[in-house]
Amino acid sequence: MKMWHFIRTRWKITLSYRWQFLLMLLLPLLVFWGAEQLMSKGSKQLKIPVLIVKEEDNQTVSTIIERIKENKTLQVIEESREEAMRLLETNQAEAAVIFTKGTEEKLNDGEITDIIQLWESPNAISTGLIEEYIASEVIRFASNGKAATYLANEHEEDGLYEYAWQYSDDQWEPEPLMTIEQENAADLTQPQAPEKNLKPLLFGLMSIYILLISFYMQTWVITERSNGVASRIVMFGVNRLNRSLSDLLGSITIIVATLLPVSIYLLYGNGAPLQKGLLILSYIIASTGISFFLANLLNSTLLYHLIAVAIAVITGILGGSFFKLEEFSEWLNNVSYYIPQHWFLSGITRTDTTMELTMLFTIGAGLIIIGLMIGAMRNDRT
Amino acid sequence: MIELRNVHKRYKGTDVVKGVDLLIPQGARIGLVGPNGAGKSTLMKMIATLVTPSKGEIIVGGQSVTRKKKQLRRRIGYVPQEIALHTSISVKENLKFWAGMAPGKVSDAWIVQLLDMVGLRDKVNERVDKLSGGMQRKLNIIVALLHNPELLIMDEPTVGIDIPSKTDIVAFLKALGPDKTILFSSHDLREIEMLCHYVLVLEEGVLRHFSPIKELPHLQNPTQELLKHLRIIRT
Repeated sequence: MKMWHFIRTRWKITLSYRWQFLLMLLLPLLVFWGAEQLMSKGSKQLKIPVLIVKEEDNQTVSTIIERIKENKTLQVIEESREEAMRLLETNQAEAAVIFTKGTEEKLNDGEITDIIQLWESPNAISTGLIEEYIASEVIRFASNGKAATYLANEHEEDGLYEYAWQYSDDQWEPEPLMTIEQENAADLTQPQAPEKNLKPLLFGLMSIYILLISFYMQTWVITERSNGVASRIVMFGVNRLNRSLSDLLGSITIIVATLLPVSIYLLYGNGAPLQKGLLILSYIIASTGISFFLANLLNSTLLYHLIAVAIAVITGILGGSFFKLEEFSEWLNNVSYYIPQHWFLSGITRTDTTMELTMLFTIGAGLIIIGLMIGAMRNDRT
Repeated sequence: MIELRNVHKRYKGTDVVKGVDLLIPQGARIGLVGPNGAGKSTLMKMIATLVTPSKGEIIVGGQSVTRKKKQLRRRIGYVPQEIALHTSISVKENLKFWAGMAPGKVSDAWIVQLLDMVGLRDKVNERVDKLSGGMQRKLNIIVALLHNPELLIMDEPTVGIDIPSKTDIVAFLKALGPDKTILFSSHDLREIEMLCHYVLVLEEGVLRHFSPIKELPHLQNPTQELLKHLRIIRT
């Protein structure tokens, strides 16, 4: 019965700050929606900038350029030789492709060497890729011309050159020349839209948010100890364990309620929503455990909040909330196994989350028990 | 009602209370004075069962504070120096919460009576943090009285409020009746003179003086002047 009193009062206190509660409810939703929009736009803009310098303007060169432009990974910009040089020097483009005078003539003769020039920027890392792609388009054109010229010379029929050129060109479809079947990773996960692939990063942000909001929600441990509410509750004969667990339960229900809209938004279309929902709940318990433990150690609210932010940032980095650690160092990757964010983010991408659920729940429950013990010891000492 | 036998409290290597012996009769109103750091709050918390004495024994109503904490807490009302309330919710919600925490059933009639006595009845729907300092102090006191305790321990309950509010609180405490034992700490000797039967002076953890209030000389300035006076008497 007293437990219900505590939970209800915790809710009333939270709801008494109406704007703050509204912010807790809407801010994560707006942040995650905004972040998703920004990142999805950013991913569309994530193309290799390639400059094209057209020193010869004719049908052949224009056709090659149009075909290069069809490549989804390249952002093709036509510029003058001087401007191209300036952009490369300032690393504003990856490479420049120069179609020098006489390109069409050489291609029609089937020549493929020294037709075009490729300049690269000082920090270029993908020149090889650009070179391969441009070369394939040029070779395609050159081989078409060579085959057509050969046949036209052998048989001397009207329209044979055009027919042979087109026949040869058709052999290049579908691109590329090789028989390797190309699939876009986003297409493989249909009906999921490509934007959904950004969700690991959004869940990373969510892990930081949950930790921060848990720290904020456990501030009562310090404030009610310093303003005498805790002593007064003890004086009313209420069991300390009952009181702490009830208030913890109250704050967990508040966090769960405020995260409900954003959880639905992030989990929609991701599959196994119940399992993922349980994972979020376990992570909330783990975060609550961390914050409850820390709040029982400290006396100053300001110090508690400063340490909370530091912990959220450090564990966020080490736990992989911001970026994938395996891409950086083996050592960081190993450290992440001891961080709750790692278990949360790892569980989000898995179908079987039993281990992650167990780990997070154990961390949370363990730290809550230690926090309770510290709280009891501190009280006995006064 | 309250008996202290050679009570000591050592905290972080310092003796905060040193060998206090005291006997307080039932229904007495005791004013506790002393400079900051004299050990007043610690002594009150020990009697209120919140702090365990390092040495000695405290008996309240025939029960030891170290052995019968739970039973004793039903008989003691404690008013901390701070506003120990949920200040962001209303007076009514606070009273509902604390009445729910209180040992035994708290009747609505008793709550209304307390509200009437301190003049807060028309403020029940207001947020505590919107009330004046004096009103917050009054609410802080009536929360400690919800379970109608025999002993009321008040640690500087009128600190930082205006004289009319202090007078109201003193009048209210007097109106609680002759059965209620009150232990009241303050830096304001006039307030203690108005309310209490006895005065108890504590300095550096040592009990310097305990006498009926009538035996105190009339002093313009509170605690420091009283301590000087006591030293003069001793020498």
